[in-house]
Amino acid sequence: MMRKLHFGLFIYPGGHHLGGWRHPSVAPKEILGFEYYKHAAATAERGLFDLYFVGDMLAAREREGRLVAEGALNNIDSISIDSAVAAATRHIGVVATLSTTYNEPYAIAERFASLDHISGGRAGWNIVTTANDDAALNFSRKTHMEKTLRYQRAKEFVDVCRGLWDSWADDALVGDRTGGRFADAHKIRPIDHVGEFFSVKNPLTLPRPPQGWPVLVQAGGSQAGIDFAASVAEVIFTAQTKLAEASAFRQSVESRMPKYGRDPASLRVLPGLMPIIGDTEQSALRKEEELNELLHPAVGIWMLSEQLKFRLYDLPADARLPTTDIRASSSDFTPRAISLLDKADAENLSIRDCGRLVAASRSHGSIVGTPEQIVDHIVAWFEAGAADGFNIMPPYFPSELDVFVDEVIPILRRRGLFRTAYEGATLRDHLGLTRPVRS
Amino acid sequence: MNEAFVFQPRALIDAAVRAEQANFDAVIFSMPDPTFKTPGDGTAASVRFDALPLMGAAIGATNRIGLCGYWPLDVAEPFHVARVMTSLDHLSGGRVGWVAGLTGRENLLADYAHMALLAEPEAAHRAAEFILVVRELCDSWDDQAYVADQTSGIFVDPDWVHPIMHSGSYFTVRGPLNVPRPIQGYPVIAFHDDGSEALHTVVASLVDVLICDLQTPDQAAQFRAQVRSRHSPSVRSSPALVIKTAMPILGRTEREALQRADGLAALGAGPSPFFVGTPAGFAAELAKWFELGACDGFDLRPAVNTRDLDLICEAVASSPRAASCRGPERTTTLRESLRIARPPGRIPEVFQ
Repeated sequence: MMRKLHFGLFIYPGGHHLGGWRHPSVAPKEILGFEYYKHAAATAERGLFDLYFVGDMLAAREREGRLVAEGALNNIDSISIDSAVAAATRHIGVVATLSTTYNEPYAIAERFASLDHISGGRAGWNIVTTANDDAALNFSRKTHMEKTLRYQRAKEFVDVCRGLWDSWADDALVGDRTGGRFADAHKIRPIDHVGEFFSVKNPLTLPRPPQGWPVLVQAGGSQAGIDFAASVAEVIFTAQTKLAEASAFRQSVESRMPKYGRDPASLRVLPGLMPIIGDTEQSALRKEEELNELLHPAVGIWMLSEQLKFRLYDLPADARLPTTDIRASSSDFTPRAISLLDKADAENLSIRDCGRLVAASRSHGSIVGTPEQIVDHIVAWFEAGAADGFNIMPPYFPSELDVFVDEVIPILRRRGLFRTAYEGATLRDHLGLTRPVRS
Repeated sequence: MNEAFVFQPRALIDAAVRAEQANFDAVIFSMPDPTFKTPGDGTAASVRFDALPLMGAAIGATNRIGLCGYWPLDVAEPFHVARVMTSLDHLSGGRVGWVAGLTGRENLLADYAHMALLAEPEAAHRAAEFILVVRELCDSWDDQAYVADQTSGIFVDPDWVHPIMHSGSYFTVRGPLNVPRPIQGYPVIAFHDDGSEALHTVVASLVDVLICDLQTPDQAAQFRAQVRSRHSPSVRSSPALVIKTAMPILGRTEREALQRADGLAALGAGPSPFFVGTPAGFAAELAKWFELGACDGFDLRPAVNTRDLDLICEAVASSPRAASCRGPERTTTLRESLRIARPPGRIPEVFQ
């Protein structure tokens, strides 16, 4: 069968362009209400998207100890949104983000098993170790756990969860009223886990989830992150903005998968992509310019300072980005930060320009053009094997999502690259991932 | 109204819809059940869902009913509880309640053995501090902080958002929360009181609702009088409501109810019923407790979900109070329907 594209909708309050919430078509007081999330989910489901993706943050976004005023940056909890959306939709998968650094595996295994049951097998877990240091201060800790340790903890955390999801055999639930047997005790086992971070004895309190396990999703491109992804991730949400980098990233994950006994064919890679779409290239560029005008410069410079871990507030916004000083300030830049510094050097960019670059698409890829041009970009990445599809990040909601669903998706469908109906019931079905056999 | 025991996930949401039609104040998901057995020991007859996905799923299926969930705090973090309950409160239009409680030592030892465990008096003090931190986090955004002014480009006014800088015996939490203040100010905060004196002494003054299971109307009236006499208006505007847990076994006739009770008893493992009889008799029993001042309301648990829920709804619909206070056309917050004041938020510094 011909390989088909996969699409996620990444929902973000006010839109992924950090000026998006100021667009006249957006009602910014409504972005905390259920209708806002439900409407976006219904549109994505109309477009036959595979999944609905919600991120998570465990600390308020601050600049120098005060909340950042100029952006819709403080989003609501992902499990809350996803469970509400799951009950209001029938097909689309729901992926929620939860941290392994600030949670407990028993509780999280129960939460995702519950979401998978209530959604009829549509749950996914975006496994994060939490990148922002500030979160520690909200959880009675003095410092954020060091990265290597975080990933060791994440690995054991996921092992415990998989053990719990597998603690009931698929046929353990009997429900025999006359014989008075609810479940077959021989088919439910305690997990008796004792490890470096966790000790967990009992089985789960729920039957095995419809999907066996929720789909395991991962994001994050550091070396530790790549190794973790190779060991557990079924879907990777990536942030590369260039095709060559994205292909290299994918190869580096795939090359490590056999080490963990995994088949590279069981991986789906979905880069984040913010499309800005117009009837003509000029109108798309005008739309982009309009959004950039709506972006408050302060929010761009804040985001740049955060990403580079370098304080830029006292410098004139029109000054050239001090890349030499920034490079000297740390030896631990993310791949995203390094490519930004390279670009700033090559194009002689100002602080304001760089702020706009990172805040415009929140450091993910973006593409500006006609529906046909958007399609060409998607197809080029797909055919090169750099992506199996994209996690679509509309610059604002709901109108820009409508444009993608109504004008881009139909072209892909005509070319036979995207489904014309949901063919299965679960998120694993949509993604073409096998249901894990109970170990 | 309380849900447990059935494995049909959507049936739990359908039950919330049914309870809303009968004008219930709230549905409570995943309450602890003393007869719950760990699966795999050979006698498991029940499952337990995490309350949060059920609360979320019920949002779109219902319009008015309060949505409460049990989230034990001995293995939780106040930041998570404040963040999730605030999120659900926004999504639901102000209908959310958090039922706090303690899972108990046995579960902790088994499922969270890597964590430090506290003896009871300490656990009670930790519980009280936990609830305080949740309240402080809800108050970390003043009501006027959420500006969303497209013209000026100011989304949040940082002058109205404050780190809480909480530093106590059990928690160190900087804050602020990263979600605007809940529609209700705080979610309705309930506590599941398992009968521990230490717990309700420390916790009663901090919560809106105490859910307990005292056996006789006299015991309950005494308990409620004690809660009200200890009430301190400086901490909360009114004393906590006392809600009595009650599982009836109902039938169309007395005889049918008795037969059902015998049948269910023969299956073993269930809690003993609060009442056996007809819906009309049950309504009279509830009225008796209420009029004696034994409680402010009931946490009703269907013995067999669909069947007993229908009969319970019938009983409740015949109660004059239910009919007078909650017309089907009204859309309210849970605080409004329970007549619990919305907390005002931080006192402005200028008045301190």
